[in-house]
Amino acid sequence: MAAELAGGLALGLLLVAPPFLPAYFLEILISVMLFGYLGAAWNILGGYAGQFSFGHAAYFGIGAYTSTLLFLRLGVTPWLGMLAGGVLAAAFGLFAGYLSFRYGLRGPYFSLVTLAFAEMLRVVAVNTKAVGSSLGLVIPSREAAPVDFVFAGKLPYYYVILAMTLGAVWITRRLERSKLGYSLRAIRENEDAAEASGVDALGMKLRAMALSSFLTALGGTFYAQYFAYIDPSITFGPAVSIQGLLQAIVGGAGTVLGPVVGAFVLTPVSELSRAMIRGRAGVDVMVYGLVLILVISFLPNGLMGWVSRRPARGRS
Amino acid sequence: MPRARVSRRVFLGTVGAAAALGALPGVGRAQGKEVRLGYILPVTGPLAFEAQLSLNGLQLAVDEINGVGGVKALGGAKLTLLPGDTQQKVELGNSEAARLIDQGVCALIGPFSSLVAYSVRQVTEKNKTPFMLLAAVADNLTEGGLRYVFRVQPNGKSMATLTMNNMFEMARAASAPVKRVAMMHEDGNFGTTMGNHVEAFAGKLGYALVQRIPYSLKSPDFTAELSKVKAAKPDLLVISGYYGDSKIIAETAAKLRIGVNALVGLANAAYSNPKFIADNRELTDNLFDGNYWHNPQSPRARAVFAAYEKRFGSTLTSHGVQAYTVIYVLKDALERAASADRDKLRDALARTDLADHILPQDAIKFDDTGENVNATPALLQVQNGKAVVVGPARFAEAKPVFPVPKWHG
Repeated sequence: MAAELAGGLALGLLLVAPPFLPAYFLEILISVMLFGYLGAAWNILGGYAGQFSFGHAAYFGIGAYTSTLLFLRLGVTPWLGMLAGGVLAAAFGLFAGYLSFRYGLRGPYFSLVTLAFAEMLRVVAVNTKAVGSSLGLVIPSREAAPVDFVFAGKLPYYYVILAMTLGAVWITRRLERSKLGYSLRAIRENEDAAEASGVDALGMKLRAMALSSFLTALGGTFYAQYFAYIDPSITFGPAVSIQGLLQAIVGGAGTVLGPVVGAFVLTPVSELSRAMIRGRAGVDVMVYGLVLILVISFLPNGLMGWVSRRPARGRS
Repeated sequence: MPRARVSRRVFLGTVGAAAALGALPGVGRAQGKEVRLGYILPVTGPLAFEAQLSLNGLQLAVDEINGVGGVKALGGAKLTLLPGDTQQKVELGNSEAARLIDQGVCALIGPFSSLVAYSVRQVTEKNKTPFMLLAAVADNLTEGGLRYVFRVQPNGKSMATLTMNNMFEMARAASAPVKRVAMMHEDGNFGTTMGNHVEAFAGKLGYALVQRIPYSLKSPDFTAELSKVKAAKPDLLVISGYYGDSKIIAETAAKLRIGVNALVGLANAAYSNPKFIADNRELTDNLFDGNYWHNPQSPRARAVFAAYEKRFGSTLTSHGVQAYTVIYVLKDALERAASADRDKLRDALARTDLADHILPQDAIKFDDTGENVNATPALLQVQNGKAVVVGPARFAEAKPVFPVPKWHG
């Protein structure tokens, strides 16, 4: 009851407060939401199915490039390009996933292969003139045109990414209670046992892969429209892959709200440490690193894992 | 007197609130006359060292100006530099820019990397805040009808084409005309920009680009690439790269007896770097480099170098020179605007005509897009362990050695 009240209150604040925030806080909030969204997308494969992808940048990049190229070359609105990017990313995810799962790559081996796929796409993008090579693609600054996913101020972007994040959370919640969700968790805990009890591990993992890569690609399109510039190192680089999984792991992988909670903790910690220790370059990054180390060593199940365990501990 | 007990919760709450207040714009704003300038530089992360060199240049200029009475047209207002750290991340570039603008800076300086500049320029444009590009070379940063973006240093195109021009003029004067050029560049935004211009400029200067080899900064070895270059028998080998890769390329070229008339750096991070030259005397002798530089003929430049050396204990670099100049361009505009209002400052910047500076160029003036129309790189050559200007002729401090016997094979 208290949790629902807090949740409702938080949601209300997220909906109502932003128009009254200074530009800086709005920027931070948009970053938080984007990272939370990417974490939620990663969480479906990494958190629920236990398949730790280090290469979600591949899908992020496919999303960013597809919508941007369609828009720049053919004038297709990024709203449609977003879906096209999502479908393409899901297809690529199925391809990469089938190859890896079919050959029984698990744990760190799967992680390394996903990393390699993302790097491969980065190198292809660097060397392909048609997609702008290393010079990247600039989305020209124009008059606001909501039809083309271009807004005058920052606020509309915020509401778009808020809606996307809420959507991802809703999907995760539905997933958690579905047959797919139960199967994925069974696979995560013990894949052999799950298969022995009749779970189609390959099929289930591929479904998680498709969903996760589709959602990640939508995030890529949002990124491209919001920051108005993409290049291979930004979109296909390892930093994007790490951002997503970091939020989910710190917040609680395999929980509905974990990734969003993670984003709401990590970004402000980084900003606060910067605000407090300004002028001493590097110290704030150390503080941020320390917080990461503490969270991961003392709360291996993330913040949400800690929250859900607390009542039980209190009773004993 | 009862001692107030501070519980952990109260303590944490207070600290948190204080931190939040510190981050809030406008709270605790210093009184008195000051003009706030904000910088966003990657002071932590992979570019931290170079960013520090820029920052030193900014600080030197700001302290100089404040030391002689600040901005006179504003009643002697002092310049204050507000820090921003991008960590070379796009989203931090945006949020740091927004924060500094909230804090009332009248101009923003930075952000070193073109990748970060693309999105920051939208933030500055929307907030009508002058944005002085520093170290970002991508040509199209000033495109798109932006009103608030200015760039003092040469963009990628001027850097590449003017350097080739300087090199060709020098070769003609030495009656060793150049027909065949080979190019190696790192495959990121910077190197690719340079490579594209060297390729596009071939027709205009009448040379054939016989090899163009993009390479990854992570390559541990360049023997295969340089063998290809050697086989193509170029007169010049042009190299756009960062420190480590450029060093290995020069070493390997020497080992292979590459057989060109000269090795020419193009905005190269190593070939005119004092430390690189000091550490590699044999290798660096007679290397050419087209780069951002100062005017060695200017007495003022010599004074600035001396002041820098005294304060920071190292030699002023081109990053520092650019940063130093940007502050003086802003100061000049503030004097003429007689206001720290961002729009008035922007209009004054657009009308800049600043002749008193330390760059190897005529007056600093901006065109409609905000590019410095007279921006020029210098052509340098390492002679006796020091990079000296050998072109353009009117700024030269030494005669070039060309063709270079060592590289001739």
